Amino acid sequence: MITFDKVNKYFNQLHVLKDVSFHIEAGEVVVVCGPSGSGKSTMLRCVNRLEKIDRGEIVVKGVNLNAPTSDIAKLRAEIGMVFQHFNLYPHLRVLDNLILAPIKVRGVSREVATDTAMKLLAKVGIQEKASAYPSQLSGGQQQRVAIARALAMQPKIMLFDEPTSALDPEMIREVLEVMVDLANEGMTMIVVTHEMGFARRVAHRVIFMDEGRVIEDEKPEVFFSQAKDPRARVFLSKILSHI
Amino acid sequence: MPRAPAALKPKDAFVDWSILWQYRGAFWSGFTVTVWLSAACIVGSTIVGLLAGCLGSLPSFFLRRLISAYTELLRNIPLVVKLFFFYFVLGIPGIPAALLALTLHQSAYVADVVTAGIRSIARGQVDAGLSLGHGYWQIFRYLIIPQMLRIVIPPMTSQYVAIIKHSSVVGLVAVQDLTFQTQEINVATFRGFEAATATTVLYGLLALAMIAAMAALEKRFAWR
Repeated sequence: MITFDKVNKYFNQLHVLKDVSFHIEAGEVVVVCGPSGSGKSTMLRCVNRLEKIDRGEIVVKGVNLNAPTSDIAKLRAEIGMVFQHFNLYPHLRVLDNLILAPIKVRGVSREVATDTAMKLLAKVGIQEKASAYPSQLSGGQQQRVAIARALAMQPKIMLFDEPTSALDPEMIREVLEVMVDLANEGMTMIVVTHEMGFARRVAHRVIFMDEGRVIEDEKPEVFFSQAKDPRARVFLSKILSHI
Repeated sequence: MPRAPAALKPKDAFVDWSILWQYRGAFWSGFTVTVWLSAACIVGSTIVGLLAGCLGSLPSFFLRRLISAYTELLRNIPLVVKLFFFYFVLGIPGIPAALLALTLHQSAYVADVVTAGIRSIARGQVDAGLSLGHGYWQIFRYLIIPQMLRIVIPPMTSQYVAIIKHSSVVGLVAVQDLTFQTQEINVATFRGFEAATATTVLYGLLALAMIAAMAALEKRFAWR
């Protein structure tokens, strides 16, 4: 479903992705971790071409992202993305946050879009906030709205860019539970996160990145107990020690 | 020893507020000119400024330079000089020249406010829009512009008050606004103290009304 083949990317002089290659099958849940600045978020943003790459090839759902003929907006509409800082539209009520893209991008009628949106809000447990503005919600609620907004486009792939990093500890759980449900439903997911508990519970694979390279690409049970690379072991010891 | 003008009788040396009532017609006509002139320029500079600010925020190097040349040019020439340019150099009659000078002058500042408003919108909004499949036009139309319009209300208030204040120079090209009438009353009666006091209060009230209206607008469109 998603293939990276020797992907390289530069920010001016800075080489942020170095020969990144991996393949993700439909229905797989992949957790990406690594120290900050290792290129995880950049890699994720390449999947829906929020970042362009300089060398290599990315194929998503059979579409080559580098090809100038690719209809990138159409592909993006099928890839949901959840951001660290939620990025909800502050000027729109929760319901309107959910129905804008279905109506304007897909041409769905307002009634149908509203119906779908209300079901999704119920699914993430905040249908009673449909007419609230994002600023009236807690961080955890905002992130659940953001997940619902992405799901409103009925995506085949969901990308999560550190979805719980900006949340207070007591709100992390409510967001992770929505994500676990999604994983159990068979959604293809790439999740950049440091929530190793989540990785253990639902990930099929863990990709560990450092300095722009994929260092490990293993099943979680292998990654947590027998990571080969010393950098991965140091990273794990740092983030697991205080749990 | 300087002599008092012949028309000035001894009792006239004291402050005489009755002059305001006597010249109420002139005050009223000047006040209405100031109000409609300001209103027209507020509408005009908002339209021109919004357009310029939005164009200058598009990802086009050429447009950005063009708009920045526009704002630099207009901001760096004094308002009165612009007024004289339209009136004397281009020979445009007083009222259209005043409308044009004031509108163009303030539109440059409005464009700056709009550009800053757009720049202050978080990059994440564009990311979110793109990730959901919106094109740049839809992002501009449904996300950037509505958010910008709310952000710019407070700085726009001072722009609008500036228009009201700046409109006081249009008397220089014989537009009979409130300031012009005040001067006329002074010339006719030597009651500059009374006339200017009344005019000061009137401008102050206009500015306060503007601020109150914008505060109400801001409250109406708050993202509670």
